[in-house]
Amino acid sequence: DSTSAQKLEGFISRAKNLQAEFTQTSLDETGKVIQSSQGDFYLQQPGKFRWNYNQPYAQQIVSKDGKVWFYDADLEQLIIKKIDKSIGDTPALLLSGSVDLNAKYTIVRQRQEGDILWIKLTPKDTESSFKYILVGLKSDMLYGMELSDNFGQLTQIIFSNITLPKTLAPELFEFTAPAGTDVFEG
Amino acid sequence: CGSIKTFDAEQGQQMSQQQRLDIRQWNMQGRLLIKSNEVLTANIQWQHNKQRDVLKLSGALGLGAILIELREHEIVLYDAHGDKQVSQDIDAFIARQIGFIVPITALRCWVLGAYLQGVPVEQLGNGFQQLGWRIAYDEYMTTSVGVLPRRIKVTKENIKLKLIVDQWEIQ
Repeated sequence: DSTSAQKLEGFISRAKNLQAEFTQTSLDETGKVIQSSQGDFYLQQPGKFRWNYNQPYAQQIVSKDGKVWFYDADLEQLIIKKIDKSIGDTPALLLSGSVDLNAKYTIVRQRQEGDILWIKLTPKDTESSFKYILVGLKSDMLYGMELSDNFGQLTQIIFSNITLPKTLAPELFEFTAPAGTDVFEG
Repeated sequence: CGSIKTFDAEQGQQMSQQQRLDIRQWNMQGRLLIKSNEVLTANIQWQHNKQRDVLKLSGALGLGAILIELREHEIVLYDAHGDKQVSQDIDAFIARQIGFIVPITALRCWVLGAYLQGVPVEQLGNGFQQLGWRIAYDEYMTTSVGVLPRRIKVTKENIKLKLIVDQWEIQ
């Protein structure tokens, strides 16, 4: 429905720069927590974002100019891929203002939970890497995201300490691998 | 793995052979890297019991998840769109998916720090050589039943697998 789409687009138009902490929880089909991780999320329009996973292990995912840098410290591996070749329309991208939401997604109001409005985006492209994504807005500010895979596993992300700063340091959207990292550009 | 013979690296010694043999059921969560001319990484959730192994591989945020079900002589793959493929030739099937053979059936033993029984094995410093693969255990972690591998490298010619175990759950 249009009001949900407008609310989401209203938020995105205001979120030129966004910085937040996040907790990510994966739940299996019975709702049991399989894994939980924490980190920092940065977003800059158009099309730039960074996920810093700090706990329980160190992983960084940076995106800029249509490319994604995926780094895992334990695996000592950096993989650089074009966005469409990596995992297609990653969720963070739809927040970064470089995607025409109405063209790519059917947007409907999923549910109202207290003061949190959950909006459901279903990709029109069946080849998309996720069946649907829920974006939660709390008084017009990003609150969370929820995705499910084909096997009933749910990934929930809850953001906290969200700020919309005037600017964000450009280095946040660059990635330089530590010495000894194997780099693969695909 | 049928009867598992343990490999007694220093830290591994605390796990007696019998303890490893008794591990009938385990769940493991970790991260997998497969490197040859292509590089793939995935979060892995692996459930093992006597009848079968179920492996779920997924990207960040659980995106693009696929499920692999492995029985004695059959492999079933459910891809990210829910399409199902079945094959009785496990190694050939895997090779068709990613372009080269990964010893998935042998990995069931190797991830526990044990080598296949009844197959020639050459002991080496922090691991062993078996079926032409070099298996190296760089790090261990304590679990409810004893010390199990945390960081495993499996290599053969230009193929390298790296597995980091984040969590062992032993029933």
